[in-house]
Amino acid sequence: MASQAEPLSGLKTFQRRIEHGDLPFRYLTMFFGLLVILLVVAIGWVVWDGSAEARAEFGFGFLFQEGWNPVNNNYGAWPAIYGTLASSGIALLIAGPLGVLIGVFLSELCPFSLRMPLSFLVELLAAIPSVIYGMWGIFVFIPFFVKYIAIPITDLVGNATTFPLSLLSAPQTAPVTSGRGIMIAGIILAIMILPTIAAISRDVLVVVPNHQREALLAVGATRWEMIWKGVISYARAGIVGGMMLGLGRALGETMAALMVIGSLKKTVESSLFAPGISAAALVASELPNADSSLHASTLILIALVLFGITLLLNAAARLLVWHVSRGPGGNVRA
Amino acid sequence: MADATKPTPDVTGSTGAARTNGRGPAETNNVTLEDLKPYYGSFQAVHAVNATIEPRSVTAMIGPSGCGKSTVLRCINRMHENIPGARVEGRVLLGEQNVYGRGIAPQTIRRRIGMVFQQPNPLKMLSIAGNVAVGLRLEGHRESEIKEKVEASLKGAALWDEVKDKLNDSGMALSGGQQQRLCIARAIAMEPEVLLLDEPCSALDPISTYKIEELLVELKKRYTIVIVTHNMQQAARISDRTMVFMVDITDKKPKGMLVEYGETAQVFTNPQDKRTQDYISGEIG
Amino acid sequence: MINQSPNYLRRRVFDLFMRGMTIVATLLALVPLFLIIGYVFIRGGSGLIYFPDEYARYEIGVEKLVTMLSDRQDPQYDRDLFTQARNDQSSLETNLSTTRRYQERTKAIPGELKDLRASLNDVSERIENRGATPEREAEQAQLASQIATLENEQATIKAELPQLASERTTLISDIDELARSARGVSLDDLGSVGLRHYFPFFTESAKPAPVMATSIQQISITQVGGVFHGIVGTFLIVGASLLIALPIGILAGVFLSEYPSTQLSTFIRFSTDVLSAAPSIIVGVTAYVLVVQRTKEFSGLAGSVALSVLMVPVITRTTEEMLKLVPTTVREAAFGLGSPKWWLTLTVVIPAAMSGIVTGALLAFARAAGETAPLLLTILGKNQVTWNLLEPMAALPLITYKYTENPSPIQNDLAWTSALVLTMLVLLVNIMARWVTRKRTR
Ligand SMILES: Nc1ncnc2c1ncn2[C@@H]1O[C@H](COP(=O)(O)OP(=O)(O)OP(=O)(O)O)[C@@H](O)[C@H]1O
Ligand SMILES: [Mg+2]
Repeated sequence: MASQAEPLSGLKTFQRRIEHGDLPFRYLTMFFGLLVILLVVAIGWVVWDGSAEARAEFGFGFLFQEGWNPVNNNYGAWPAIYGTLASSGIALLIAGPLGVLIGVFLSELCPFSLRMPLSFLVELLAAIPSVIYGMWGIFVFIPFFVKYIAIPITDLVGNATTFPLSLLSAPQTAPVTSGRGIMIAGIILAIMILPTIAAISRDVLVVVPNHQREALLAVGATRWEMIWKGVISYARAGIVGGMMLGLGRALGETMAALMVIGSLKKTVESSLFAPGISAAALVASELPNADSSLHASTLILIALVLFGITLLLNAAARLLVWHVSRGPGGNVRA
Repeated sequence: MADATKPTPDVTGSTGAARTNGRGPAETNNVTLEDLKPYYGSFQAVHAVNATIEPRSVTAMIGPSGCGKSTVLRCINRMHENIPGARVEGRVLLGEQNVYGRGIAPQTIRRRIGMVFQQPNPLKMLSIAGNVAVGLRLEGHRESEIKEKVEASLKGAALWDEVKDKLNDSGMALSGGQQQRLCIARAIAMEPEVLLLDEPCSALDPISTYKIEELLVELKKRYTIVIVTHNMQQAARISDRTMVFMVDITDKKPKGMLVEYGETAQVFTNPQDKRTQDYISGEIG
Repeated sequence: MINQSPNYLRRRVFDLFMRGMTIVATLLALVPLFLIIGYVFIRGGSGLIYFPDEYARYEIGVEKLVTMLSDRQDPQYDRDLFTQARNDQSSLETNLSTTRRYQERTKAIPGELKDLRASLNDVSERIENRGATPEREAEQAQLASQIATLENEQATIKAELPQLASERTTLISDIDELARSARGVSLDDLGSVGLRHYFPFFTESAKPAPVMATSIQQISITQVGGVFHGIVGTFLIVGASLLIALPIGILAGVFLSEYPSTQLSTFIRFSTDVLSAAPSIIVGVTAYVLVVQRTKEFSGLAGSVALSVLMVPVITRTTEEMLKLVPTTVREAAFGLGSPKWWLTLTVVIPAAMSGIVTGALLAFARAAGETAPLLLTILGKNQVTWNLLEPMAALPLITYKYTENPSPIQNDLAWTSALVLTMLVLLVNIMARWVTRKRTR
């Protein structure tokens, strides 16, 4: 005992010395944590403060007016809002169901040995930069789309003006052969968010406990009935959450939209084959060249609105995904 | 209680149930296991099993952990093949019909051979009534008929009195024992010919266990029942015949095997196999 | 025989149908995604093939011209042009193949001559030392004549090569003439095909685009350039943003995992969620207002600031989760020794979670490398290589965007190849990230 006292006390002083580090260590890490909060505050402050002039000038009413023309100090952001909502809506309409089906395939139907590699592949696809989707859209998809989809449909529908058909009518401001428009933007966005939705769907489907599947099988359910009533129904909150995250991505996407949507900023055309503009694309294309401070301020106000919408959407989506996948083994995609 | 133990899953209309004669399953088919060899991938989990299960009786499967009771049980209604890589060699006959015959869809088999699992597994998204009715709904029975059958099955599972006021509540809101009886109700609502139960009482308290045992004795009047249990008293109490499984450790990878099958009384009092004797007397297992 | 419910058949068919549909839909939906990658690899990849022979592109250009003319089949006008082009093509081919053969010979002959002279010396020596026999003399004579033939050949080649070269120049300007007089044939197209195989891709930066070239010769390699400036820019900008984001992200992650249940950490977690949900354009706007407007200059640094904001939530989250995965037994064992928390964290916890943290950094890198929108607002773009982060810079995604929008097919080709480099970079980094944590996820 006595022989150990000597080294022990040496160790003690050493410990005491380094224990002094505990508090500074805590403050150091806390400082960087605070920095993260500061980043959010900075973003919020910039878009709030930067848009002050525009808010004082028009309030939020300009969001629902047409006629974007910065040269005449005429700012109506409705085309941008409409373009954003319409293209993201189309994207969700296409990619939502398809993404869930891919998720079902990956978690239920795919041969077991292919599940891991295919899932990894889908995750890889989700990582491809959006500018590449836009580029592919321009060079490869638009020519195909114009020839085999846009022209036949607009020929068929003609100049219909009644509501649902007018969405598919021939555009007025640009020939349908130009290809760029809200519809194509929606499709490209759909292709882009598809891997995201598929990966999240897979994640929430694989954590459905096996006993739920067996419960249905044991009463004679077919495979699909099991998937529909046992698996999808169990994970529906998470699936909806995944779709909302996908929608959030589509709403905030700049490049893919900017490249294929066609930049019609003044008016809203009834046809989806007509060009339009999205909020993010508008900001990206005009802010670096904005001359007047009102112009810049208006663009920042649009950014603020976009920020608000995506935040709300993401909050709801996260809540849903978290709600279903917090069980053991469930891990929430950031 | 008296009411509950007198189940009358009576279907006189018989629109959706051409196969019933109104008094439970018409058939009194044997279940025959012929050279049944379950595999997990390339690993054969159990030596070939040959046995005939008598109709309208309780057959118990006992044996130490890992001896393949669940595996064999799940082979009977083709639940086994649901596990990735799992497959079956040999035959299971339901009457004359090979369960693994060509062109037979597993769901038709599972519909005729119901199953209750070790963990109570009510469907989370459905209500109590919805849980019981789920199989019937899939088969497209009329709602009025479904309502009757739900009530009859819940009575049959001795659960009616406890849940009749909250049929629309979630099935998850019940106690473990109630959940397990709900699962039994779900299985018997389909009026299967055979009912497979995999350690249905292992997660339950003695009272719930007792209730379920009572229920099984009642149910065997109309169903062929196969039950896996770790509880030898339970097997002795309720079963007519008993299968004893053991782990064969002579191979490199231990395999399960059926070592003895006979009348319960005889298996427990006068076992033919040395290993059974040791197991029952508590020396192994 | 088997009793079936009344809707048995319908259910069975529906089951098969829906499962089939799911599989078909999955395959159909994945097709465009794989098409994208395939296209990027094929069209972008052809830019990476390097033809060492400078004349190869003329061959390809003429071939393209001939195909174009024969495709158009304008009977009045094209027939002559077509025959001429065909003649020119075959002459050029003969010329080039002869030239190549000659060039090979020019390289080979000196060696052969040297060998022959050595053997001749040998024979002569033997004759001197041991006397002349008829065989030896015959051999000597034969060797001498062989040497003479080779020397002759060498001289001819030397004389003919410039001749061939001048013939080629005439031919090429003939072809140029042809291409110009063939109405509607875009020279840019011809050049594009010819030059796609010819980018000094990794070494050159952008050159002014030949918006409407007037001759094939004019579309020379020097006018096409490469995307070296973009590669440099991407690595500099993303590297700098990693330098900014790593300390913030890791230390904030450490705070979250070591003091997990304070109110502050809930708030920090919420902030990382907000950051990862924010559209990148918003982050770009912020960097634009805070850096570009203040400094009154677009700069690589502004881009780094924007990208680092996008990286922070990724790094923080992965760090936190990985630190949490470190088993409590490891911590307790160290706690038992009486080490303080910070010592424990630095020496035990962080090293144990290192692979996870590296994964986070890699994922953040991959995400930031592909971001375009914030760069559009911050770095502006530049056509030369610059190593100075305080100036406007180029970056691969920006180049991809700008060259896609450019009408010149040559620039479009560059866009594809830069897309390929970008895709490879992002995919490789993602695969690396997966590989680093493979033990954990298995
Ligand atoms: N999913 C599976 N994959 C591979 N092997 C399995 C799987 N399930 C069970 N096994 C193997 O099959 C053998 C029998 O398992 P089984 O579950 O049938 O045993 P059991 O008798 O039901 O045991 P218990 O009484 O513990 O439930 C065991 O050796 C087990 O390792
Ligand atoms: Mg078992």
